[in-house]
Amino acid sequence: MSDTAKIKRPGAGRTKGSSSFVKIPLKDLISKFADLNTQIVVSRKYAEVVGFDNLTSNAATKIMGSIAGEQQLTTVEIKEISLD
Amino acid sequence: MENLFPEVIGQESAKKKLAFYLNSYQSTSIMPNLMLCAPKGQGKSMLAKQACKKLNVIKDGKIVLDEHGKPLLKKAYEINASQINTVPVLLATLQQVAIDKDVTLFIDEAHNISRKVTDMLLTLLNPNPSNKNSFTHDDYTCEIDFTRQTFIFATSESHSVFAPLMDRLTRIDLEDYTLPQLGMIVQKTLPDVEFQEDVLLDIATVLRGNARQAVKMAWDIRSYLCGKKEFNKFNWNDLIKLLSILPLGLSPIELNLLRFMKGNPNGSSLTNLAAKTGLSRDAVQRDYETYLQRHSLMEITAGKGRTITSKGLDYLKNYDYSLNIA
Repeated sequence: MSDTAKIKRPGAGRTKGSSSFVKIPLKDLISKFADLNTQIVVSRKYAEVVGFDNLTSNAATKIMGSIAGEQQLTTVEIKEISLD
Repeated sequence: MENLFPEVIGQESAKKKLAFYLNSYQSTSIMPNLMLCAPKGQGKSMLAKQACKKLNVIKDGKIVLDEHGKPLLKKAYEINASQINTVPVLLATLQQVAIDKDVTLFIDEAHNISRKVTDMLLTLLNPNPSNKNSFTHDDYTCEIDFTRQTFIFATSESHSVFAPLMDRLTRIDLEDYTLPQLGMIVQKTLPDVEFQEDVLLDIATVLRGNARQAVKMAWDIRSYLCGKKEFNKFNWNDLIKLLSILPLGLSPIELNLLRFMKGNPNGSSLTNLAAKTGLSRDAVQRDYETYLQRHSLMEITAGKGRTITSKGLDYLKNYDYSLNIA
């Protein structure tokens, strides 16, 4: 075996196609989802470019898992302390 | 020094230390990040929240005023540490409420912070002359400015907090409450009720030195009184019977442990006690033995293991006597 043989780590790295993007007209998206409250996944960079602030980032695997109903997106209960 | 926390009963040294830092904050705009340490129910959250009410926004060395001309307070948020279990979650949380904002973050149950999040906090909370730290994760960098963001942590298990994190924080230990102080907490919770004779001291003896128990007992008294405004020793004895309150506030499990140890004068092992109560060894050790030892009702010796003390025997004798009289 070569001294420089690469160690393959199963599950490591990005999945195929995870960093490629497609263009879809908004009307096609709307026609696909009747409920306007449906969560649409977009890249965080894209969301920032179009002006969304204070977004909570989640790992891609987690987002896809939540869409498939396998796991809940992370939500942290933040209580505002009353200063009165 | 002016009492900055008139709402908080007892805890004089903790209040003094906090007042010292709050006073210096007015001129330096730097509040050290704190770690409040005390057993459960001792008032850590209350003290932290009171401290939040004293931290005002300071910009360029000047106190910022709100639209009414009063000092503008930093917004304050409470988060349970068990919820921020990964670095991205903490980053997202900071992004949501803290970055580029003047805030106080109160993070409770700090012993539940995961190791990876602890590592991030070690970077973010490291004291330095510039009073700023940044942390980069993937392609996102978050910056903490100690003149704008203040962190207050609280824990009931300080030994479980990673030592280097503890080193970066200013530790404030809360003290045990005295019986009169516990009585004052009961009275403060029920300001309209007149407690007669020394009944408040009698009540305090069963509160296990715990401020939260004092508040809960006050609620029980309110339920008992059904709108009446006087509470005397006769009422207290009646409430003791109604709620099966044991002397010193012992739980029925602790009473059983004492009886078991009385029946085994040659000593019992922790496993024996766990088997007798049906609890885990950890639970017996952590939740029950500590309180019995604190009152010298039992002892642990190298040769015999767990045994009841003469004070424990007296406790059982007096308790059984009171049952016979009743």
